[in-house]
Amino acid sequence: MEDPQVVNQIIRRCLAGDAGAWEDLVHRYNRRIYNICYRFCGSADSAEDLTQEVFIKMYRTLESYDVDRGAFFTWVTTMTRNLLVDHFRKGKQDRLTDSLDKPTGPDEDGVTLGEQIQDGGIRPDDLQKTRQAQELVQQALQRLSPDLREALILRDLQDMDYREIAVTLKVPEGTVKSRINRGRTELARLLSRTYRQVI
Amino acid sequence: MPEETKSAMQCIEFEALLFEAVEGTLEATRLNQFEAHASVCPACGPLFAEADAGRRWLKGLAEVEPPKYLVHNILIATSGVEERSVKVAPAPRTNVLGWLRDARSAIWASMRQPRFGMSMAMAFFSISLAMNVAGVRVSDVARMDLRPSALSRSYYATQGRVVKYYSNIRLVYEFQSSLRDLKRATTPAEPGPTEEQKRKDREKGGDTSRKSDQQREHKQQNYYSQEEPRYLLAGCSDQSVAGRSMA
Repeated sequence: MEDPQVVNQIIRRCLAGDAGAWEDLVHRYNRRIYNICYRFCGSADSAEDLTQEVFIKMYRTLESYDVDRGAFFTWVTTMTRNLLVDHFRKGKQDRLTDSLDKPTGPDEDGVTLGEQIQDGGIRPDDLQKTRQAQELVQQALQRLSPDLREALILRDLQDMDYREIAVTLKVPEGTVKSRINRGRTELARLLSRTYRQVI
Repeated sequence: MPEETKSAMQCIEFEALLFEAVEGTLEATRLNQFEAHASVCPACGPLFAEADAGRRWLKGLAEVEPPKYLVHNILIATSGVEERSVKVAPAPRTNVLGWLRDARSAIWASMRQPRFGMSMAMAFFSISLAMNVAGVRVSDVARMDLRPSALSRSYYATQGRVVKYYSNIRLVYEFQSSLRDLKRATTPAEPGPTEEQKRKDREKGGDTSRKSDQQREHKQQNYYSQEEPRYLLAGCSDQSVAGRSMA
């Protein structure tokens, strides 16, 4: 976890015009922001563009960050989440309903991810270690609604506290818990509905 | 959905505790009640299993590695300052061979870039096109006379051809002509000769002027002999011409 004092010191140096401090800040947060963006939109290119947008916005509005109002990462995550929601609305992304049936190779008649899993009889524990499993879960995540998806990403992938998530999403804590529960359940159902023996 | 079971926990309460149960933060007493309800309730039991499975699936997702130049691009787009170099400074070269080896590997690395290949292809294409247009053939190069005198001769011959071609261009000729006219129009008239100069000129050229007067008279006579009516009219006085026109 980040040390608030160190981060606040870096921010003060940034505001004083220290380019090195800004670079430290970018190094410190680029990975986490990129991961949030990637897990939310499911595309490496979009995640890269969105991460850049987040940092551009952060650079312009850094002086508006108030230390007393919460942790810096919560502030950054809120900004990221708002940009992601804007991106989602602009793109009018639909859920990827056919992604699990997509062939893994270039051949259109090739074996799908689900078929590979079924035929091979891979256990969930083994599956989690494979690249295909990562893709499978990522695709299932994309099929969730944005509300559930963002709650799951922040909790299970970014390990944020549900109170911080409530601040970030601007919803009550009970709503956060409910969304996380529903998200996890729906994700498991999505994966088990088509490929029952996987789970 | 059965709202109440023998374990004295309602489904709605079960759902409220689901988050803590999956996270593992539920206290022991409540956890026992929770598990007891899950074991007997046909709706809540699978709900807990699914939520737990969903969490495990997500926890299995590895962190994604950001692109290599993401930080660099962010810094350029924001502060405009290049990323500080994190590479260790190379040790000073102890011998020439090592320096040459490094230089060769650096050149080879840049040559393997696709853009280098594209640039080379474009350069080759451009040179071929230019040579084709200029009428140069590769087979002629072998037969070229490369002696200094021959080179000098061909240089001057080419220069002459170029100058002639340039001068014969209509546009250039017209431009030069109009430039000359313009120059003549803008140049002030020369001052007339002084009295003394006139007198000297008269003394010098008295004979020549007389000769030229005679020549002029002779020419005029010839001219009048060719056109008779004009000669007659020119010989008449003003009154006779006026009287004829009245008649």
